Amino acid sequence: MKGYSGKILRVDLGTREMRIEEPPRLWYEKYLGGKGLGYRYLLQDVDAKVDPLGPDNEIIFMSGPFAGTIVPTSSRLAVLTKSPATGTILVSLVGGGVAAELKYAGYDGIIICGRAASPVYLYVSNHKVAVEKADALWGKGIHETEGLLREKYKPEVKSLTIGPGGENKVLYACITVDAYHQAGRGGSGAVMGSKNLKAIVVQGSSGVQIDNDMKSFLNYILEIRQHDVLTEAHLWTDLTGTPGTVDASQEIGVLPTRNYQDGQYEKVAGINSDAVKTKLKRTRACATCPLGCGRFTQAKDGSSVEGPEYETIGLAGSNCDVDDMDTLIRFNKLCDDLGLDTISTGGVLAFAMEATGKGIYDFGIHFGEEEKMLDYVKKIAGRRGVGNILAAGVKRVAADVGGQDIAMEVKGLEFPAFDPRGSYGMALAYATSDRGACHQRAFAIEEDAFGSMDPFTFVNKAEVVKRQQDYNSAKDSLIICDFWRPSPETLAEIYTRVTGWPMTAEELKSCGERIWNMGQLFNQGAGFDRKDDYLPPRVLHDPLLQGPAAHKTFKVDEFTASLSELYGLRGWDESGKVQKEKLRQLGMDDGIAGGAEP
Amino acid sequence: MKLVLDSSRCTGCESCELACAAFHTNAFDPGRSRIRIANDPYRGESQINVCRNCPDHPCVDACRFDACVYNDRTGFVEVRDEACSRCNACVVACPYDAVFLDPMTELPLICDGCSGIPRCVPFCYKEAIRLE
Repeated sequence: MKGYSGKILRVDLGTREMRIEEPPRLWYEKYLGGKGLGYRYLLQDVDAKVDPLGPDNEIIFMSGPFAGTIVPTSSRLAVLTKSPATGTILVSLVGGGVAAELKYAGYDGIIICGRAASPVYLYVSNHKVAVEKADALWGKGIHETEGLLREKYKPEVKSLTIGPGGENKVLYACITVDAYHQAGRGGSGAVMGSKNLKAIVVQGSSGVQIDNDMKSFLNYILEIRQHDVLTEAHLWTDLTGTPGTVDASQEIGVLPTRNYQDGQYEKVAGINSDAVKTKLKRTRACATCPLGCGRFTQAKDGSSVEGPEYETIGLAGSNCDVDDMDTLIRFNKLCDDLGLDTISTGGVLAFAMEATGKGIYDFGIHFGEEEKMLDYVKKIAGRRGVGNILAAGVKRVAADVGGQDIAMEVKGLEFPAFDPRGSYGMALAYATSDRGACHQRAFAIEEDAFGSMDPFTFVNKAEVVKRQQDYNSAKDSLIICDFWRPSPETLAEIYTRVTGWPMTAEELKSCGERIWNMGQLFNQGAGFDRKDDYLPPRVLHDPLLQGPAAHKTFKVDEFTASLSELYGLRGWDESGKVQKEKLRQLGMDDGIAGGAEP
Repeated sequence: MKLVLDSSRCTGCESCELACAAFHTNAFDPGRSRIRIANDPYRGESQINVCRNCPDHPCVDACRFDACVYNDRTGFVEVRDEACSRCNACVVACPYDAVFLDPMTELPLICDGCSGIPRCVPFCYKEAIRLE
């Protein structure tokens, strides 16, 4: 087998049973790797109604066929589980160098189930797999933990680590790689915490083989880098990194401001890419990535971080009315060390700030209270005082104490930093993403508000959202970073050269659609249907006050029709249920639907 | 010709290691690369380490078996595997710790400039590694 290692490591932390599985070739061809292969295992192994924080939930780490090779942006790992935040299936992707290292250790993926009786970490190398005691690491921040693990093994080892946020099962706790790279969204860190699993250490010592003649492959990749990667369409990564999006979002009026009360921020100069540049030390890249979007910055107090990224700036900056870059760097560093998703943490704090100001519930924090915000991050990670309430995420907190009208979430996942009232394509993308409000499943805004389509209509948006959801599912399975946008033809050719198995652009798109349908099958089994593809009341009823979207009434009827149109394009029924005919078309009538079969 | 390094420009992507290993071993196996990147992700720093083409070639002088030889045409040192006794004298002699050991063969890994066209250079977009 080329590209793939052909081996999956399975570990039950409860019984300490370990075994190596070799998935059939057909699974690799149909599900590709990463998201697809992980979804396939979740559908097979996990009851969709499982308690996400119980021992029967699995957490899966899955690489793609390109990880470990020189294919640009390919060192990304998919983390899969049933999300404790949303109750949906969850895939969250993380960069850094761990995906390549896992391949070098001889595995495509690791599947973990059960729960250890006391804190442990898992050590994985080519010759040894061991469950080790982690009592001495439990309670420590991610940065110290990573350092201790590097000291114990060697500086080059890679780890997947949780901080106190994950240990305390904060529902938006993340998993970290290489200090500042996170599987951020959906609370996979809490699932690791629920299993008493502090970290996974990976140390690899073998190479990845490919089918193609190596010298011709190196020349081919150089061609691709020159003509398809390091091009004007992608080089914003090098020029500004994601903070460049701050001014762009401000211009089109989708920059979340004071818990999405507005889409333009009057103090944007304090948080845009020029502000980041004043703190910039150098640029950084994940393994095998020529784009190098990472910004390593340092605040006045000496705090340094790889970040802050656009999402962190939007959620903790304008959305919390904080325009001080030093505070954002400190917030970023704190979340990264304690193991909290900066998007959801920013969203939760903005909700608490507005709720307090409006007298809905006294969380004791107001917009713009910078030092208090940093203190609240620690409270949330430690579940101390009000932090214990906020650790449940916006949806649950609002259900408990009120404020549902100002709760910006879908399916329990807090909004990313693109206000959908300025991009109806994004509204449909948030409502129908497989893991709740997510900007990465379909980044439809690039075709409407940032592109040439009218952003204030749902006409033709279902096609955009479906196409992107499907294609990104394939990309997230291969796995290629969001920031490189190759054509399906290019990806198919790389796949063929790496694995030696023929692949076409059409088949790749079919793989994407198959994978998207697997996610829907799982969610259907967990009880999700059309009623869960909603948008929060503020989007439907409160117009933005400034920018191109100002005072526009949201087209609720068009949204409803657009949902039906999307289900229709997918071959689902009006309630959003996957139909048998669609399963047959996609080659999924092999029992994969299991208990969830309609 | 020699490689000129500027670690302050390195983003830590390690593409150079993969290009090197792929060219010499036919596999993406960074443990067998002749160029190494030491990444410190926490501090966001990277150090490039590879043969500096010392004018006096201490590795060549240290080799008692004529296995380490200087190639006048390319300007790089080459290891004649069949002559190497695996004594590690070249590893010890290198003032930059830039002679590595191949974990599979235990032979020294010294940058040979890919016989004149170093493959790492075109993969370094940031020009942290240049050929002069």
